[in-house]
Amino acid sequence: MSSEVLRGIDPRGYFATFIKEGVYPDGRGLLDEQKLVFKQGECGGVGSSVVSTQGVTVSCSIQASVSLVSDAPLVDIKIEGSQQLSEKDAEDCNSVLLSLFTNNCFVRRENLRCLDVCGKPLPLEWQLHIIVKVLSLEGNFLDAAVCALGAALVDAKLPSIVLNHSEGDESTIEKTQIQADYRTMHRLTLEEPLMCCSFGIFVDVNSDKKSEVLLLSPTLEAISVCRATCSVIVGKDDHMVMVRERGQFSSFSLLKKMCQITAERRHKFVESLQNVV
Amino acid sequence: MPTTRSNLSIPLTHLARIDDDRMETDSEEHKRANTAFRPLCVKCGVFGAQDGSGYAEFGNTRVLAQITGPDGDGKWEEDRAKITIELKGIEDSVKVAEYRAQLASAVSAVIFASKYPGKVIEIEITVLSDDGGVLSTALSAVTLAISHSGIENMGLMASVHVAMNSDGECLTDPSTSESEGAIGGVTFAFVPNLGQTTCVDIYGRIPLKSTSSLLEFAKQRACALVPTIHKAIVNSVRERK
Repeated sequence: MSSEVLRGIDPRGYFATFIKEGVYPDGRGLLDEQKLVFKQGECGGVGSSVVSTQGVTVSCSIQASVSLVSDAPLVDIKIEGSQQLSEKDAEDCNSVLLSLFTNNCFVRRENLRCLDVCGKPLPLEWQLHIIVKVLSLEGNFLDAAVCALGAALVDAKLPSIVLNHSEGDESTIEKTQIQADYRTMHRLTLEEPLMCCSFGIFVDVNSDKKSEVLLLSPTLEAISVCRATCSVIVGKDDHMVMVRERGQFSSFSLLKKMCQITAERRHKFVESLQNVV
Repeated sequence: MPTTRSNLSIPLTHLARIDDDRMETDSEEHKRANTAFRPLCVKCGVFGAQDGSGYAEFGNTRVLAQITGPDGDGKWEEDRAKITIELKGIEDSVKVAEYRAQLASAVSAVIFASKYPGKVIEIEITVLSDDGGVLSTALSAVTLAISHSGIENMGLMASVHVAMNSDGECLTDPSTSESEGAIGGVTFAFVPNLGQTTCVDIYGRIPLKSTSSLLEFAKQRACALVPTIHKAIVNSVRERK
């Protein structure tokens, strides 16, 4: 009872007591990894996945359309808001995920060409319509959304396209000339999956050292007492793809540590995805 | 080279299909009995964040329901709780309106709203995938969510979707492909403890004289679901202890 009173009156002091000992109030270590659970192929579309990690559960499904080759965007993402995720945050995450696509972090544009039965590219392109749904949100949405997108793309299976339109023909390709052959399915040629981890930087103002403590996957309650929060996305060859930081922290070595932790987590995720296929 | 810009965008489902001939043969062999449900999985209490959550899966139809509340500052000057339902995951806005009306009616009939004056109960229903029978699956998920939340209600609600063929034969819990040969159907939900109906949604062209036999068949199939739902609720209570 007295600890709950302290929690309400002085949340910073309450957390400082635990963080000084290297644990969260629920007993988890400050840098302990949270379990990541994913499942593929159950939410419809040509590819889908459900990912649950760090208190966030996200479902992702991909619908496909056939279009002529052009320079229009080939991927559109719709993040459905919920009671837990506001429309503003949904749009913000939407722009982040779209920028990852435009930077070829998930799949290159040339790999979205339609293939015939022999695997030869056709003058048609796949348009991907991605729907992301929030099922549970107790942490950072991006942590689960990036993994869900990667897992859904790995799960995607697209049919062969039969095009009854000769190459020399100058007329427009008609809808009736396109057929989908489900006897031969193709998988997308993808870049390596990404991994996103969220961190918090806690500073104990009462301490003499005033050192910055790194927290992995802070809860919403812990975020409110952190000086800074940071999301790190790591991709192929452990390259830093994106860093989103709010607040302020001065120790640059913490950023390197964040990338290391995210890279280790990404290796486990990639290994699990390969075992599933 | 000038770039080609075109508005042509054909969804994959609209293209003509070339299928393997063996698939149709396989589907014939695995035809279900009229009274058998699709493989189903129900869970009461999926997440810890919500006050109540329930999950229902019938074949490839998956629905998640989450409840927040009763909550509010008491400024809602009513003698009963206000129940709001939000339905996500369905593209057709007409269907959303139809389902929401049915769900609101069934849920309002079951919850003792007068025990929570001035409060708001928010129910959020997410359709993860749709392969027929979304309304009955959603009603099952909402029932489990209500049980998990502890909101006082008049009892467990069992719901089922039944289709009828042109020869008057009933089919339990049909998928989208299995409904193609049906002339109509019904989504039926009731409280078995009281024998009280909460949702009867008949669609299609059902002959009037076949209506009573269709509803009787649906009631029997709904009763068959009660042990499964009850077991899920009991399991969630055990997990909490």
